Amino acid sequence: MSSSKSNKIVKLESSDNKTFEVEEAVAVQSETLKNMVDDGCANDTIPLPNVNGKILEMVLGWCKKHVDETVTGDELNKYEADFLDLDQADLYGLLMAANFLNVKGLLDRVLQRVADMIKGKKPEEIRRIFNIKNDFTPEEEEEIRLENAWAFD
Amino acid sequence: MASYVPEEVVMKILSMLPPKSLTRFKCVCKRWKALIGNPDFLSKNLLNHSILTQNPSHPLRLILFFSLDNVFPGKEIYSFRSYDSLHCASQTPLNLPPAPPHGPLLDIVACCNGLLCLWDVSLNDIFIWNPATSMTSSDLKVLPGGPSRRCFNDFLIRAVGFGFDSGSNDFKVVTVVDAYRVGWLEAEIYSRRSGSWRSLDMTVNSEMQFVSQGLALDGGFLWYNVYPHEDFVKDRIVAFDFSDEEFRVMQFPDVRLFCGYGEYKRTLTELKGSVAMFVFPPDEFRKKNTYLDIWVMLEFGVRESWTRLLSIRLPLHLERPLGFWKNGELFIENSERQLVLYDLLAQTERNLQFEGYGGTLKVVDCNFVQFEGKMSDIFHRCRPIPRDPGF
Repeated sequence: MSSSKSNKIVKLESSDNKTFEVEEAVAVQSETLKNMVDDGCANDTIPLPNVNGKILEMVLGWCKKHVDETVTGDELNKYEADFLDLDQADLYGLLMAANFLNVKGLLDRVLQRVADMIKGKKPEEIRRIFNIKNDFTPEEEEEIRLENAWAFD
Repeated sequence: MASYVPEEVVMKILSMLPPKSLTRFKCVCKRWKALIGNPDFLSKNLLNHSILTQNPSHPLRLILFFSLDNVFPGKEIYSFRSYDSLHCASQTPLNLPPAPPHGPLLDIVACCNGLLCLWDVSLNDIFIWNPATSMTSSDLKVLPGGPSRRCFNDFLIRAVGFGFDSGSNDFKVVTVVDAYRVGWLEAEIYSRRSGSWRSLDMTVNSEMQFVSQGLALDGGFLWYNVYPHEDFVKDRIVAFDFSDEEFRVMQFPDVRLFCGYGEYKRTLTELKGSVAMFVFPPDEFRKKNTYLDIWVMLEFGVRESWTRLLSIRLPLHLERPLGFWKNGELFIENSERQLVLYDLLAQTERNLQFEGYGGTLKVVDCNFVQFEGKMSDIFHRCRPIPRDPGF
């Protein structure tokens, strides 16, 4: 295989001490890792204390799929759709990882999936999901609900 | 789910939510209310199209620039452009004679699934054109006369709607007809499957005027409409649903901001799947401090959900808004009758080098869902229209 890609390997360690080795071409799908590679900081194992092993494996799987030239457009679409079929806990982990690692395409997809999941929910549920404290008084909240009654059906 | 979600991530998620959800989430907490209530936030949310929300089943999405020809008035120019780049897919002067079979006032009703519906305002004729298949066979099919044509010598088509009924897998054309002798408005519908017209119950108050072009939206058609109410004139939207074939009325909100427009022109348009409306001054009112207001009906059919998205001071030479492109850019006709692209957020403009004649410029969104063949093969000179139905 003659290509201009370097065969360099990048080593990553998850928060739960699992190590992963991937080709540089795969790793640089993440802008964060790409910057480290470009800055010459990727020679030793890169610790990722905010991404656990399960999630990191998933993200790297995504990256591998996206550099694989044998994958067709249709296969990729299906892969991406199936990829996001996750429970809330995993989805949250993936969201944080995709944001931190800044993986093109993945972050947008996850954000859209989260948006789709929450768009029909009530404000109380949103507060639970995002761990937000309600700092309105009951009267203030009631006023907002009345002003925008059409959105609360 | 989360113990902590960084604010930048929250912002990104919020920017992907539909307007109704955003409005509801104003009461989550004060921070969210401030974010969502920021007028810029809602405008950017609606004006910025995310790549992910583009429908992948429209591989050939075009936009049509239409105008009567500057050089040969009476001829039309159809310039099909790629929706993404606005580069010319094809341009053809439609070489139809100005005399019958069609008159000098041809207008485009809508494009649905690749079919264009055209309305000859002077001769009361409706045409269907399928640019993708009209190579060798005749190109404009005129629809046969409906009940009005058969029964009345003197009638006028007041409004035309065109759409696709996915339930019955059928294209339909609806007209509102003013039959003078009768003195009220009648409605008729043509379906491609039946190949003929039939009368419809005109359930809406029939003393009304269809002031401007209508809007095709999702299996329905809408028109801006004025009607007499007690001692004065009110406005509303009349909507037609192609599946149940019913007319419905949608009122505008009864708020001072909306009622104060007076003689301003209104044009219905579409923004990211929602009904939107341009409100702008007619030529005689244009002076230094006139504004273009853009309203959006955030929830279809809900009167209270009309929201004024933007109120922009347009440069004097930009006169008539024609519709949205992507990413918050607007097609506008300038005082030289040229087509201009105006960036609402950056407030910059770009002349598209397409000229119209006498205010006939129109921009039509075209989705060619089923299409085979090269775009360059399609567009030839069109031959004169034979008078047989069916398309």
